[in-house]
Amino acid sequence: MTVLHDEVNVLVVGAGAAGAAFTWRLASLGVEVTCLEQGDWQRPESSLTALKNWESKRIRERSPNPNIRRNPADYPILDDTSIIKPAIYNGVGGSTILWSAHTPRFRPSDFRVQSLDGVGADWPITYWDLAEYYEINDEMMGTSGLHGDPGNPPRAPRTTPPVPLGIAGSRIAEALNELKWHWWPSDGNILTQDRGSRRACNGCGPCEMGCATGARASVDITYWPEALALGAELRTGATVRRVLSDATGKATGVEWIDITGQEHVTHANIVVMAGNGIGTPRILLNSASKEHPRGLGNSSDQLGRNLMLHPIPVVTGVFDEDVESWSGNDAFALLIQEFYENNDARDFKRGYEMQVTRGQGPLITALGGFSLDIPWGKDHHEVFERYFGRVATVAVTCEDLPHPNNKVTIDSTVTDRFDIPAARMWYELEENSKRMISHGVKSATDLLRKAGARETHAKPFAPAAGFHLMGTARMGSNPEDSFVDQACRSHDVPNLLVIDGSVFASAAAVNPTPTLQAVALRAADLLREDALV
Amino acid sequence: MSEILDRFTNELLPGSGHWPSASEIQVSATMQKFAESDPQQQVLLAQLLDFLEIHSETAAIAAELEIADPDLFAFAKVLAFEAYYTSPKVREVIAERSRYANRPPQPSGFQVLSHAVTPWNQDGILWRSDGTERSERVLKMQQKDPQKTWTVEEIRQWQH
Ligand SMILES: Cc1cc2nc3c(=O)[nH]c(=O)nc-3n(C[C@H](O)[C@H](O)[C@H](O)COP(=O)(O)OP(=O)(O)OC[C@H]3O[C@@H](n4cnc5c(N)ncnc54)[C@H](O)[C@@H]3O)c2cc1C
Repeated sequence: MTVLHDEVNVLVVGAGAAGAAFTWRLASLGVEVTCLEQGDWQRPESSLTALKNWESKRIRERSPNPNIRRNPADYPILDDTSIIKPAIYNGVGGSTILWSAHTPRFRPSDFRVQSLDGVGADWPITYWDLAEYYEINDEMMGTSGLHGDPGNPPRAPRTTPPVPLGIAGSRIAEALNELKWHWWPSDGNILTQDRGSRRACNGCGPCEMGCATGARASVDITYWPEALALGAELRTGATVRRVLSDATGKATGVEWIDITGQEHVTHANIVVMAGNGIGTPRILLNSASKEHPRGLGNSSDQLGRNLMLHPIPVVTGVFDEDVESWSGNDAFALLIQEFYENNDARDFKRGYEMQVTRGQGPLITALGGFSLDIPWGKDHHEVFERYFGRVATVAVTCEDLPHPNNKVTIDSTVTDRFDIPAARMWYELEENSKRMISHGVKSATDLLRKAGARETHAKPFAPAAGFHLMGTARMGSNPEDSFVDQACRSHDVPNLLVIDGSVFASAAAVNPTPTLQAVALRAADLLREDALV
Repeated sequence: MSEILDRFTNELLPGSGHWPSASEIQVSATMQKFAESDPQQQVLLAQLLDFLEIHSETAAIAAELEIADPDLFAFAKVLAFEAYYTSPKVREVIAERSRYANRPPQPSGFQVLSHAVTPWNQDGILWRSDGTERSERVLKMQQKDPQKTWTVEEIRQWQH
């Protein structure tokens, strides 16, 4: 088959949270930029939450696990070597198509965990290098919340007021006031007032299915329309097989396949990986050459290693009365950071945050929700009635430390539809995480009891929660133990950038997306500033 | 064939009080319909039916499957619950017996009932300095005026 060739200036792989932010920023600086995305646009009318069988859709074609969903754009991720399963989406918007849009930021100490607490690795940049980019990103995504949180450095006023606490959330907030634990209304990329074509959140519940009103941001409705208006190019149905490099070791472009099976080579001055913490190492490991035998730019052997996921223990409290736990955006209303910073009096390093989740309909509840055990058989209905609408779940996001054996590799015994090897996840809980989990479960249980829960049910970690994918091409000053430098450029291949969560040197104990978008925006500015484009 | 599936699903979801049993609302037929569009599910459903046929003499067939093949049982349970809990009849019962409306979440959404609660700690700064000069500077400014409204321009200055 003839291979079609063309040439572009900057080529971005992946149109998710990071790829969209980076492309928009470069386009706004007048740079010619092209993005290749293996999936397609999500039609707005494809919102499934208006269908009678919406819950069925939720567990199947909208499952966050690509191995269950099996869309044409999904690639296999072998996960029998990981206790936490992958949760991603492949299409324009990437995983923000399914995300819950909870957007806390890293704290300053999160960037210096080795210097401050003697664990993990420091970033070569600080919070202060990203502060401005967090603000730009908040504005682009549209952020509800309340400024003035004493638990974090100051931020500019939020786009709209915070999402409502809900009945259980209000109870939990009162309990937190009594306990004198830190809490604050969460920041989220969910609008509570109309903004342009996006409508205010109407509390329908299952954000993870995609938002029918546009209240919950996804980058296909925030960054992408603006990037395209500025002249950026987005090619969909373009699956990148590998990044090409020449005899000097420089990246020269990518090899990709369109949905008809036609092979292409797009030559580029700069190649930018934004395929997420699994997709990026997968393609770079598959790009090995004579000059890069362990994978492109991988002389450090760090590519794919240090996978950090955030173990998330969950504790569900059951209340006597109906707290309408099916209403409200599903993953957050308030943020609890009482146990966030390191405390040497505890038996683990670093810390965790807690958030209150909700938004579960009848089917998900009957299947056990986050941590319930509803029996089948003669007691089923009685227990279901006791729980449905009467629960609140506290999810505990535990900081994960980097470990070389928690990793992403490729496995050519299984391939995607274009014969590209599958990714394989390897992940186990470390001792530090186990101790932190025990502490977190106890805190969440105490909190729910204080809020009036009559019974609580805990799970040490949510196995389906592999959605925070970090560390697999980490940033650092030393080329021997990191993959990219402070500007997200490969130590080995100067015209290769990685701009997604793969570059995180530490995981913090918060959701990663605003941080990875801030990193991507900054990387675009530095590329321009250094006159590389 | 569907008789044995009816028996199995009734063991999972027997009727009680207001709740119909699985067979009363044809859960087994719905399961078969759901599986039609997915070859992987068809294979698993066929395995389930084989198991049920072979063990048809067993009194507690669901419990038997749960022990003998937990993965197949998990598949069958999810499919049966999916068929049961998406049935209009069951949705009606739920609506009668809770405050949950018998309609999809969109387009109307749900009102989120709350009452305002003010965080107890509006002023005591809780984050930890990273040891840099910039951190110390911002901490001091925030401690001096915790409720100050910051502009993006002011925040931009922190980079330097
Ligand atoms: C259910 C769920 C809930 C979540 N909730 C939150 C939350 O509340 N807060 C938060 O901060 N984060 C949340 N996340 C995580 C968040 O979505 C991700 O952190 C974020 O989207 C990652 O951005 P990214 O650009 O690195 O990757 P993605 O957004 O995953 O985008 C990667 C893109 O690259 C494309 N790609 C990959 N390989 C190739 C290839 N070979 N060729 C072409 N294209 C390719 C993919 O198709 C995909 O579109 C959630 C995720 C899920 C699934």
